[in-house]
Amino acid sequence: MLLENNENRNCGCGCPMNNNSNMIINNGDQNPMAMSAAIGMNTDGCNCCCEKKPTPSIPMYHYHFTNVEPEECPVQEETREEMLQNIRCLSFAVVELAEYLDTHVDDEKALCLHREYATRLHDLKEKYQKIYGPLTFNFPCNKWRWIEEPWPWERGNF
Amino acid sequence: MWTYNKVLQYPINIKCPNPRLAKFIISQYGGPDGELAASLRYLSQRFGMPDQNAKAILNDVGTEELAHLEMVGTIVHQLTDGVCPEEIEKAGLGAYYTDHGVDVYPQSAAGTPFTAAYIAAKGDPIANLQEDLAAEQKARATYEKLIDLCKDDPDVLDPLRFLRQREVVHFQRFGEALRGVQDKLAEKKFYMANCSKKMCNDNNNC
Repeated sequence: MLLENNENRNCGCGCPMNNNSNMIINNGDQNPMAMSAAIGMNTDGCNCCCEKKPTPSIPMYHYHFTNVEPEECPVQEETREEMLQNIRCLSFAVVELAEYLDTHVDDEKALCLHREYATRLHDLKEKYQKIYGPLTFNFPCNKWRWIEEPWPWERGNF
Repeated sequence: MWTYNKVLQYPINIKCPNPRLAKFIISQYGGPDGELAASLRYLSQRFGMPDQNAKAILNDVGTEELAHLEMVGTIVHQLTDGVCPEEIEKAGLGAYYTDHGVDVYPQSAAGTPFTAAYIAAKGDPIANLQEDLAAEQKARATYEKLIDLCKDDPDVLDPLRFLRQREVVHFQRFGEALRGVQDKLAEKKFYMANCSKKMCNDNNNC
């Protein structure tokens, strides 16, 4: 069942890289590249933290946001739903990369991606929480906003 | 320790309640191959793993399973929320309603309450990881059966397909961890802290 896909991971970006590190990807689903596709990893060429990459996508199937109302926040460059979706996508990428790194600790490219996505996730969460209230109760508030928003199962931050 | 994140791992917004589907899907909440069993299985087994990779993957997958538990609970909640008792009964959930109302209770589709007998911690890392590999395949198979039963509602189908896909990835990661543990145990010099054996050999407190 195991399928090894050895490839050159040298991205030539100046980041500390092990040129000979191999990445073994197989999700057991006849689609060994599904993970890399899911988190926006390009399997050819440089895709390291020195390049600005688009936000990774969560594998969304037929999902469409029907409640998006961009006119509600005209001053924001992103709507709340867009920010939230980006947080979810970045979180997913970080989870996927973390689990991958648990069994491939020497994969410099995966580490590089983790570093970038984790930083972007941190920054985006800070920005979101300042506007819309806390996502965790670690976020300092002047007023206890933690209980104000509906919970995820009630379609708040769903 | 854990900190709660007030956001689902994958969005769930079910517009049409359907208690008939909730009756089946609850199995992935508290059934034999459900997310509660998965998280407890991995989080309990991680303490006895002989190498850092295996400890880490069990810790991190066990944590992700808790996020999946919340997703399945959310699906069940939204499928039953606001449904009148007559509809609940018509969907075959009359007995469930009697004991639990429309709370989300960990049980299998057939109504067996959650039991720790669904999980094992065998005191043997190879046996444990093999169990985990099987558990991921059983969970994948269960999601595929649920997908067959929920074809009419894309709002339900979507998160189920996401959850199915995660089982496949976790199977892969556990396979890699198993390979690492096998290599570790095959080393010429291998020291493993098995407390019960160690104390007996030390002749100190035995």
